[in-house]
Parts: sequence; C-alpha cells; structure tokens
Amino acid sequence: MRISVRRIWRRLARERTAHIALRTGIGLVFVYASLDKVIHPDQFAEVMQDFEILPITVVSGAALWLAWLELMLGILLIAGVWVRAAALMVTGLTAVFIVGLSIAFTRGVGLHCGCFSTNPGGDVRTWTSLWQEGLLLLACFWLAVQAFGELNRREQGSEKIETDDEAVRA
Amino acid sequence: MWKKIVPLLAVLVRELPRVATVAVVSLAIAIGANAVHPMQLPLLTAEGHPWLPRSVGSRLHHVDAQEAMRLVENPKVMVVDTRDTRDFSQQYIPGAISLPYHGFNEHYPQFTASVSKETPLLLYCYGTDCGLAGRVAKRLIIRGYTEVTALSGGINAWKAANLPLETPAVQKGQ
Repeated sequence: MRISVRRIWRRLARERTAHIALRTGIGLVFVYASLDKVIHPDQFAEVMQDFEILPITVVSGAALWLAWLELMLGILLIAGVWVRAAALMVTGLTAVFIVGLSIAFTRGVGLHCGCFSTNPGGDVRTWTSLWQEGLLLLACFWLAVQAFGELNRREQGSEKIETDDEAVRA
Repeated sequence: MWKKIVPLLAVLVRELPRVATVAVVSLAIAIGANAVHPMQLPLLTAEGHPWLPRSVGSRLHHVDAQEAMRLVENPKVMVVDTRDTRDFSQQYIPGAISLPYHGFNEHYPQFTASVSKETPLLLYCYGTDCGLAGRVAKRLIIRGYTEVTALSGGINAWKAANLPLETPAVQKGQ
C-alpha cells in the first residue's frame, strides 16, 4: 500500500468530519488503554487472572496478545487504514470485555478493571460503573455502522453509474 | 429484509481476511516484543502463576509455616503482610508490617524508606491460591530486594499450624 500526503489529504477531505473525529477518538482510547498493558504485561496478566474466566494456561499469552491487539487497532483507526475491519474488532473486543466484567460481577469477584491502568489500587469495579464500557461499545458500533454504510453507499453508487451508462449506450 | 441482510453479511465476510491479518500480526508482534521485554512471560503456563516471569520466579523462595516461624524469630527478617489493610488491622503474624497488593504503588514509598533492599523479607497473604504475596514479591524483586521469601499457604497455613498471631489489642496490652 502506497502512502502519500496527497492521498491522505484527499481521503480526509472526502470523509465526513464526524466520522474522522469518531474513529480518531476511539483510536486514541484504545492506544491509551493499551500502553500500560504493553509496558507491564505481567501486571495485565494479573488482572486477567482475577477475571477467573480463562484457564491459567493461556492467561499470560492472552494478556500479551490483547495488549498489542488493542494498540494495533487504535493505530489503524487513527491512521484510517482498514477502518471497517478495525471497527468490527473494537466492537467485538468491547462487547467481550463487557461480558467478561459481567461474568466476574455475577460470580462476586472484586475487580480492579485493568482497562486503562494495570495498577491494582483504586476503586473496585461495580455493575453501575459499566456505563463507561457501554458508551464505548455504542461508539464502536456506530463507527462500524458508518464504515459499512459508507461502503454500501459507494457500491450502490457505482451500480447506479453502471446502469446509467448502459441506459446511455442503449 | 433478507435483501438488506445478505449484502451486509457478504460485506462482513469480505472483511474477515483483514480481521484475521490484524489478529495474526498483533500476535506475532506480541510474541516478538515479549522475547525482548525484561519481564519475558511464559506464553503458556502449565501451572503456577502466569504473571510471574521465570527470571523473577527463580529468585523467590517458598517456606512452610514451621520454617516461616524460624524466620519470624530471626530479628533480621522483616515480615510483610500483603493482604488488604482492613484485614491486617484485625490480625497479623507477629512483627509484620503492611504492604498491601491493592495499593502497592501508594504504600511502597513509605516501605522502601524504612526497609533496606538487603533486608531478608518474609511475605504472606491469605491462602494457598491468593497469590498476592507472589505478586508483591515480584514487584519487590524487580525493585532490587534481594532476599524475598513467601509463606506457602499464607496466613491460613500459619493458623493451621497453631502458630501465634498478633492483634492490635494484644499489641497495645504489651
């Protein structure tokens, strides 16, 4: 994939400002959330073990992978590359995370989220604090809808052009 | 309705190769970064603690309750309670000071100001699987503490061996 300033500028001009703001905002959230995990993967593994969902065998591997996956998705969203795939994945990740937290709460596990920091101090998460993840999920879902909607419009538009061309030829 | 759903599913399926690529590339980067990271975690953990790098785990010693009692009687050894401060304030192993896992970053400056890095430490937490002592031990070893030992089975093993405990009231009485 060739990256040129002109191409990026053209893309920015074409995309709607709200869409750019949304994907950049979500991208920044994911990059910020991943940094502490990338720097302290062992502490993130502690947080993941506290969720008591994954088998011990895969906890460290999953912690390492998730941290880098979050970082990569954040960068893709900010750069505007593979936005549809990234939007799908951040929506899925956030949904999985909410399910994980809910399972932990149902079991009565006292959790320090580990969302943005791996520091075990701070407030213990509760059901009422889930609104933050809920908001993020809504934003991710909306981004995915926008990204796929744009593709749909583009494809329908090209179909229309082809039909018009055929009509002109006829 | 199907007229709308089928094209949407087709578009979603078309994105799957990119989704798989992102997943595989991020996994490859994670494995590569872990290989050069100072903490170097085991990717799969057969047993024990997934958050404990081998380099740190090999420097952490474990003792049973009887051996721990001998350490407690040694005046050079500092006993460290890694449970929450609420539990520490009710009962603790004689002579212990509190350095809770939950709140480590906040308590550590005071701890390190009063305990030198050469001091032999005996850490304990709640029970066999709580792992808090191991987690605090890891942080202390990384920060340069050289002689760190954890009590296997935590304060539960200590109680099961009928060894003495201290409470704030008893301490005041002394």
